Amino acid sequence: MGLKPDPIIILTLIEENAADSVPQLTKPERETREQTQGKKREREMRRWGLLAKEALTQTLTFARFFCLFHVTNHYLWSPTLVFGPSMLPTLNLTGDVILAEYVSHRVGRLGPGDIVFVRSPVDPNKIVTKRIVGVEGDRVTYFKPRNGDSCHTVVVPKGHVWIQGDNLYASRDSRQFGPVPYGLIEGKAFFRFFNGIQRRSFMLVKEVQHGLHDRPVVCGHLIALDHWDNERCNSY
Amino acid sequence: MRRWGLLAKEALTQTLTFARFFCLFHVTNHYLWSPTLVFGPSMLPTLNLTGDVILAEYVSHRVGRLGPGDIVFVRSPVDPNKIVTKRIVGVEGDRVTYFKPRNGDSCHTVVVPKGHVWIQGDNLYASRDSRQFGPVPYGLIEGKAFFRVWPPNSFGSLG
Repeated sequence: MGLKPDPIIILTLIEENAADSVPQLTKPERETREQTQGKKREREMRRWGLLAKEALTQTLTFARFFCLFHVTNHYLWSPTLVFGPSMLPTLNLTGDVILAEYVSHRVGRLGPGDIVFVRSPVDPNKIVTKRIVGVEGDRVTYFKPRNGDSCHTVVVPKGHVWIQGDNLYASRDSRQFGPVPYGLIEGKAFFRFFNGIQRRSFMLVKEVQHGLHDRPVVCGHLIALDHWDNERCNSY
Repeated sequence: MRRWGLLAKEALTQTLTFARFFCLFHVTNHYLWSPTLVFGPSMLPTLNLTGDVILAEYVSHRVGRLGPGDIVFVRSPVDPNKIVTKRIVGVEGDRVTYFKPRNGDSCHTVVVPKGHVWIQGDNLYASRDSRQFGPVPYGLIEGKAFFRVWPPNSFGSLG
C-alpha cells in the first residue's frame, strides 16, 4: 500500500528547481532546459502509471473482500429480513431479522419442524419462508381453510418436501402448489435477532420447532403426520 | 518463540492468499462460466455417451433469458444431489405434446404451469425427463450449456 519514494523523481525535482532559477539561457543551458522538460513529461507519465497501479490494487482488495463476503453469505450463514403473515405467530408480520444457515440443506440434515427458505415454484424470483411438515415418504394430512372442512392426505414423493406456513389461514404453500423439490431449498432459519417488542422472541423459534407435541392437537387446525396419535384427533 | 510467531504469520499469509484465490475461482465458477463434464445416453446425438467437456454459463438463467431449445443443467427433482443435462422444450404457458416410447403410441398434451419449464432429452428412448417427473420449477435450473470444448473433433458452440 505505501509507495516508496522514487529516487529518480526526487532527482528530477531537484534538477527542475535548479533549472527554473536561471534567468538567461545560453545554448547549453537551452539544451538542459529541453532535457528537463522531457524528464518532466516522463515524470507525469510515471505518476499516471503509479495512480493506475494504486487504483488496481484498491480494486483487487475490494474484489477479494467481496468474494470472501459473498462466499460466507452463500455457504455459511447470513442475516435475512423476512416479513409477511404466513408464519404468524412464529415470525412477525412487519419483519424479523433472522440468521439463515446454508449448511444443513447441503448435507441433507433437514427434517420436519425446520423453518426453511425455499425458492417459490410459481415465481422463481421470490424466496418464501415456510416450515417443513413432511419429507419424502411421509404421509401428510392437510386442509384448505377456505375450501370447506375436507381433509386431504398425500404421500410426499421422492426428492420432495411438503412445506406449510404456520398461519394456515394466510399462507400459500404446498397446499396450493404441491410438494416442492428438495433442490429448491435455499437455507434454514435457526436464530432470530433480539426483537425489542417481544422479549422472548429468540426462544420462540426453538420452542415451536420442538414443542409441537405440547400443543393440543385439533384436527382441522393443525397438521397430522402419519405417526401421530390418531385417537387424539378423533376425540375433538 | 519469535520463530514460531513468524512461522504462524507466514502460514496465515499463505492461507489467506489461497482463500482469496479460491474465492475468486469459486465466484467465477458459480456466477460466470465453468467447464463441466457431462456423460450419459439421454442427449444423443447432441452430446456423446462417454463424456463431453462443456462450457456452462450461469448468467442467462438469472436474467430470465432461457427459452425452448436451450440445453440446460437442472437439479433433478427426484434426486437433489444430481444435476442432469436436458433441453428446454416448453416454458410456462406453452402447450407441450409428448409421448413415452415404451408406453404405446399415445400422445399426451400438457400446459406448462407458471414458474415451470418442460425439459426433455434429445434421445427420447433413453431419457428420464419431464415426461416422467413432470414440469420442473424454474428455480431448479443451474446453468446453460453454450460451448463444447472436448472432444476436439466436435469443438464448437452448441445450438
